[in-house]
Amino acid sequence: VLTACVAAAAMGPMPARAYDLPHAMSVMAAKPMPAVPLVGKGGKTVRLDQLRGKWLFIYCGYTHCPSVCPTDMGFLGGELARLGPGRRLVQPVFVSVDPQRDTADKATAYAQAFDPGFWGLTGTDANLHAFIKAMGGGFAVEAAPAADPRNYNVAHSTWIYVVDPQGRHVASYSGESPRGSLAADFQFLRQAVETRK
Amino acid sequence: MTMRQMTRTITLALVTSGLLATSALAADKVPAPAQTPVLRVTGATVPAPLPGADALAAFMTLANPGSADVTLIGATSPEFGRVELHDVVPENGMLRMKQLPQMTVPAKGQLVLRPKSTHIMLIAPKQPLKAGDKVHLTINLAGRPALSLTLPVQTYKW
Repeated sequence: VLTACVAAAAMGPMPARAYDLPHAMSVMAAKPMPAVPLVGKGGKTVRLDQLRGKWLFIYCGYTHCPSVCPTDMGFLGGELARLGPGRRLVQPVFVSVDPQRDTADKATAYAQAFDPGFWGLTGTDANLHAFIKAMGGGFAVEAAPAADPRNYNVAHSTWIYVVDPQGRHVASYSGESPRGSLAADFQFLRQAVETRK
Repeated sequence: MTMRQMTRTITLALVTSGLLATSALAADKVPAPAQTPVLRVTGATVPAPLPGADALAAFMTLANPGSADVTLIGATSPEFGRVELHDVVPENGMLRMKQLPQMTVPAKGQLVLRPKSTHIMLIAPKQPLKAGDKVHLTINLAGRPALSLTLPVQTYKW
């Protein structure tokens, strides 16, 4: 809970609430997605900001993360499983912020351990920084020990970003949220978006 | 601490069942008191690696029934190139893994090593590991014999 509060405080003042979401740590006023190209399976360019028609649940981490990422991805996988028939409306996305060690294919194999529908993406270092900053998070690759240059850590924010089917970032959730909270809020989100159409 | 003390290790055959770790006293010493408990280890596990992941963590609860703090000062494993004591700390809106020089199990208290918190990080595996394998872990303690644990590599409900 402390971690979640610190992360929320780092995002600055809370924007006006667009939706009534009991569990969201932060709710955006339907913010456009950053126009940043990322890299998908097989090296294909993916523009998440140009996708329409599906909700996106996006988490940014890295496969060498032994504790934080699996916990948050486990939370997200559990929320997806709780959606029931609503699951088909959501495209889950795992973005690796460690392109030096993770390809999109590797990120996909990793993420699909939590839900078989996951896309795994990565990108250039500059594009990943631009993407995550615009979404309200960040990451920092730390120095590796000289004797073991492949084994370094990456500090990163732990948000789950929720993007509506019109490509607007509408809310962010902490991986520390109670189990079932994102799945419960998703019902409110769907109603809000469908009412506004 | 002498090398003899360092190498006098305690073997826990069944770490998950919560056996008391006791000093393996040399035959020429009088065991007083007999079976002095050092740390009680429960729930020790190494989550099986996820696809493509090769940095692992060891989780467990270390309980200290004694009246003096017990300090962990490092760990080694024959299955890994490097083993580190870690914490996860919030910093600039991010979570960062931080290497700790030591961790303390307070007297009459416990230290829980768990996801997104303090853990033992297992780095550079010498062989790929899978569920069903074992990890041998030696935890060095300040001023006391080291703890030798055998941890199961298990499919983990994250």
